[in-house]
Amino acid sequence: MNLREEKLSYKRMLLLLRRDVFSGYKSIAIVIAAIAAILITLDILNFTLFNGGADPEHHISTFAAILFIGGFIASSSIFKEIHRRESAQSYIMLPASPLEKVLSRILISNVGWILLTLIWYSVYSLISAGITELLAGQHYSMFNPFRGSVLLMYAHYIVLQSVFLVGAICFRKGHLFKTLLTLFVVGVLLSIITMFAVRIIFAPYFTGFFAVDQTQMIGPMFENLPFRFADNLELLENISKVFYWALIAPVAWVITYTRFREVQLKDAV
Amino acid sequence: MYNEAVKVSDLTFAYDQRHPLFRDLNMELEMGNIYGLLGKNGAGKTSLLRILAGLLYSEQGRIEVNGHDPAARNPELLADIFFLPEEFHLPAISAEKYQELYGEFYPKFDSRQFTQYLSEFQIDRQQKLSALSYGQKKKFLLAFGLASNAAFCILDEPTNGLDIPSKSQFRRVVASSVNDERMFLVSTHQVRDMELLIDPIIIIDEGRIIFQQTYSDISGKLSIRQVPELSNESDILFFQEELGGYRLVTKKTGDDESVVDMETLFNAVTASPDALNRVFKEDE
Repeated sequence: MNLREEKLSYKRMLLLLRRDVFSGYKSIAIVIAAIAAILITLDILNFTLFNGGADPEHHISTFAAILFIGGFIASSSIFKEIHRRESAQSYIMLPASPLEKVLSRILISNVGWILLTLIWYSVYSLISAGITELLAGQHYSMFNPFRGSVLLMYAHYIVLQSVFLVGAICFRKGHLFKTLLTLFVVGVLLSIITMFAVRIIFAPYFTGFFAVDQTQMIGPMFENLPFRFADNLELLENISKVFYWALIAPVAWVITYTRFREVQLKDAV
Repeated sequence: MYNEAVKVSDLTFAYDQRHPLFRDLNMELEMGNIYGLLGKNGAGKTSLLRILAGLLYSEQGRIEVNGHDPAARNPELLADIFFLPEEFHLPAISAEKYQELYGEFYPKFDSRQFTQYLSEFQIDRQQKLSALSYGQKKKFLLAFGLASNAAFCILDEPTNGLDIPSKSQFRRVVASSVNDERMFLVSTHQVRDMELLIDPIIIIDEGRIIFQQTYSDISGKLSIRQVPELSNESDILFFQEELGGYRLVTKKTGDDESVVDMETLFNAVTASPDALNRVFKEDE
């Protein structure tokens, strides 16, 4: 069966979302309550004991850390159910199509996580401001979840998080660690490939295997190439943007779906 | 109503390519029956059930459940399959919440029936499922599956972990819920638990269906009895020594109605399938 033959019913999607949210809400509620308590304590300590200033960018950096790190951790275990034999059986047998099941998990881990984080963080910032104002007479500026830089953050999160979905479905255990390790290995491989490509393209400028003639200027090296980098910077930038914004997430979602379709009970542990 | 409930043609499946579990396996099942799937440990009973449920994919062959390939995991077909595995997971919620979260996935789910089954199995609707014993959890799943009114009920070792009263409850409930629009396929190695429930009997061995007959055919053509001494009967198909004599399987000659001793039948079929099957083919 291919993607075009897949069934998609919005009623079943809603049922899946309701089931998935209900299954995970307690553990998430405990985690976010614990993080909020830690953050409020740190805010109080900052204003009372350490006499710290009210850094206007404080909320942006803290929110980004929670959105991205928390989101990557949560996304990495979004398909945990499918990797355990007992739960995999009941999840596969649940009357919904594989596409509906994958879409519900994608929605929960990106849109769901963004909504949860922005609501939760806004509430936390409000409570924290009240408490620190009461105790220390000062507070951080309010967190605005619809500020331009924050909105861009959501978009970046959706793109980057999709990679962790692939890790979540492909790895049976240690999803987060293995995804990070894979990204590291891919990064190293790309660096090696780039290194060899540079060695081949700029062969005349090398004096040894990887020793460059230090007296050479870098500018002229590019000018002698058939492809004029300087004249095509905009094109390169656009290609990179298309790759990042339009390709990474959809490709990752298709890989996630394809791998999900292939899951059999013998894959579960 | 489904004409041909399940059809398996030339199924080949292997966990390890060097030792296929099934090679060219064929099987046809019809509605209105409680099929008993018997086999030794490792014969492939659970794997066959999982393939029929779409939990495992075959390498070759064609599998049709209500005309659909279960591997496609079509939601309409999934809503018509109830699979009770030997090992299962239940969330830490009450039976009532479970019904609320999962019942709507099954268009034919009947909450009145669900309440009846729960009461028959003495399961409290408010109790957390994770707090139930293994046997109670199994009965809860059975209650839910039967209330879903799924047409294909696939039960893997359903009486394992059930106490004696629960086993009779199980037999009573299953026997009363089979009808022309529903079939059960029950795998078991506890043949005594199922003796008066399963019909027809399917025996699987070394990746093949070596025997598939109805109870009336078996009792009409085979005689299974205990004798104190082995005589020189020429039509002995199988015998086994037991306390107080021998248990014999012979071709039936008279009209006497005999109860089929499933355990002896199973041993006879696995020991000499060709001899047993010949008896059934002779009259065809």
